Amino acid sequence: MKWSIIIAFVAGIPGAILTFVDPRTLVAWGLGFGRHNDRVLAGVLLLIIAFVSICKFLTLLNTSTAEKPARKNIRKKSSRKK
Amino acid sequence: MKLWKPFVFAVLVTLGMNALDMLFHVATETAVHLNYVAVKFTIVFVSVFLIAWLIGIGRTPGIVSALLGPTAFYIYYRVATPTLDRSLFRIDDAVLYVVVHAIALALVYWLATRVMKKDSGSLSFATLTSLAALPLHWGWIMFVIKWTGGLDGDTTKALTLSAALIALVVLWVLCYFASWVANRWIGASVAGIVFAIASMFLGATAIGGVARVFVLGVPYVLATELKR
Repeated sequence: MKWSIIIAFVAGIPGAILTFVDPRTLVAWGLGFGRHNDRVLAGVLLLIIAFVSICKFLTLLNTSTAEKPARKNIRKKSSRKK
Repeated sequence: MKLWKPFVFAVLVTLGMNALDMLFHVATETAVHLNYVAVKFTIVFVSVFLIAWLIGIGRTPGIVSALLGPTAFYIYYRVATPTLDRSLFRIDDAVLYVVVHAIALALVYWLATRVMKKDSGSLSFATLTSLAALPLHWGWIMFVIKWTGGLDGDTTKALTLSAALIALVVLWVLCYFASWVANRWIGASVAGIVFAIASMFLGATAIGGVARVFVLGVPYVLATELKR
């Protein structure tokens, strides 16, 4: 689960920089690889990866929350038998 | 989920979405530009593939995919430098087109999930395969125009609405009858060869004919992978 958050940050921050920062600023920072449109495409793809990572995190969170009541019921049943 | 099925699913859904989108473009006299088609394909494919692979295939992932891909593409449009003269050509950079793209993606996503079901018939299979083959056919024509020295603006006139619809109907009929063949490789080959012969009869070159075999054959085989 923690990997989803890490990937979201690792992909999301560079993605946002490549997509939304002014191209002249990117060139000044040494990030002027390729053409402007290529950088924007790379940035958008990184943003998509970040978004999907967040969705994965939420899915895993939902799954782990749904499992907890089931485990509680098993413990209650086993304590009644004694 | 394993890698192969989400990959095939994403390819077919993205191609099908592009088909509906291109038809809508020519119907509303909005330019179909090869560069933007390629970028749209890349962005939508990555969105659908990652969600199908990491989250799954279903109603909620479908809704998320339908919203994510077009929104990401809209962001690209807004930020990237135009590659087509917007004073001469109208393109799909308005917010309304996010809705159009989302609806097209949702429709084809739903169609692909129907094909995945064991009891799905030839109707849904032929519809998905023909929709997936159309942008490959269209893209080939645009590529040939550009390869032979045509300008970006010339590629926007590659197919008219009626020509595209006729091509779609021909593809659908070929896929429908080919689906009756038990062996998918034979079905794909026969459909592809018939399409190639028809294209050459209408003026395509020999290389264009060979390309047409793959234009129909590849989506056909991929669609049969979805059913397995």
